[in-house]
Amino acid sequence: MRIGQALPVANAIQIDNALGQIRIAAAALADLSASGSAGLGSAVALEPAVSACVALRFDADHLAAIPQAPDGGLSRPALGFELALNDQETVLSRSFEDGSGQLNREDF
Amino acid sequence: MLAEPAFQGNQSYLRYAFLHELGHSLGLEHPFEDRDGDTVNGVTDPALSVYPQDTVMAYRLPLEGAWPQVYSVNDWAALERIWGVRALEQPPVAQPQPSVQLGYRLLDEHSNQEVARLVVLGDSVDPDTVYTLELQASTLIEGLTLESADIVFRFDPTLFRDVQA
Repeated sequence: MRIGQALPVANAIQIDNALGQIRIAAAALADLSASGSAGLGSAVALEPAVSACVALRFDADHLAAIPQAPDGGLSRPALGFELALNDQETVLSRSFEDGSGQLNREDF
Repeated sequence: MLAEPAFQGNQSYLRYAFLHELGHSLGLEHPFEDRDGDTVNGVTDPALSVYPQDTVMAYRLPLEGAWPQVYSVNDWAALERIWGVRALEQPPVAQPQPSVQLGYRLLDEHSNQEVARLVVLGDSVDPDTVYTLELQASTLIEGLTLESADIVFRFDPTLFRDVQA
């Protein structure tokens, strides 16, 4: 499990292997740069950016306990997963010009 | 068809008979009817079957002499099973427009090739295969930038070895 470069700041990963749930809280500081250096993370906008990577390995012992079809396949429905976004903890920003000539960003 | 004189002015019995016959036209049968093999409690004798309080399709005299004047809970359940239930129309609820989209790419770690799925019914399973799941995020509105995200990924814990931080 690793966090992608798009949201590398103050990330928190909570893994509950018993429940089968991983919670990832991550942020970027793409606009915070010092004297020409790039900020932390890349701005996540319309183009999809990798926020995290998860390595999944099948549990061989459990697979062996599942009845198999004659062709060797699993005799149970498709295996899948679910992704969800907590809206309350998700922060978006947009830039605006306040007349001072400086570019500002506001969160909402 | 109801022959009103046969009810000798018993309006309560007449109404019951009307509900009974209407029930037939709507697809209800007698509780003792065994032609389709589903009598109530396996009883085929009308005199030993259930009471009108159980269903207006009964033939017995009513308990305490009072003919039911409405369909019973059992009758409604049978009618709903035959005809279904019309969902009450709910007023439209304004849904907030999503501004962030989550996505994923699934890669075979050994070949680094993208795969379309984990495993589906009928696939052979190689327990040595390691998948890398890339979780992706993007905004759906131009000009918006995602500053922080709280993402939850759920999987079947019995099928995979422990995920390490």
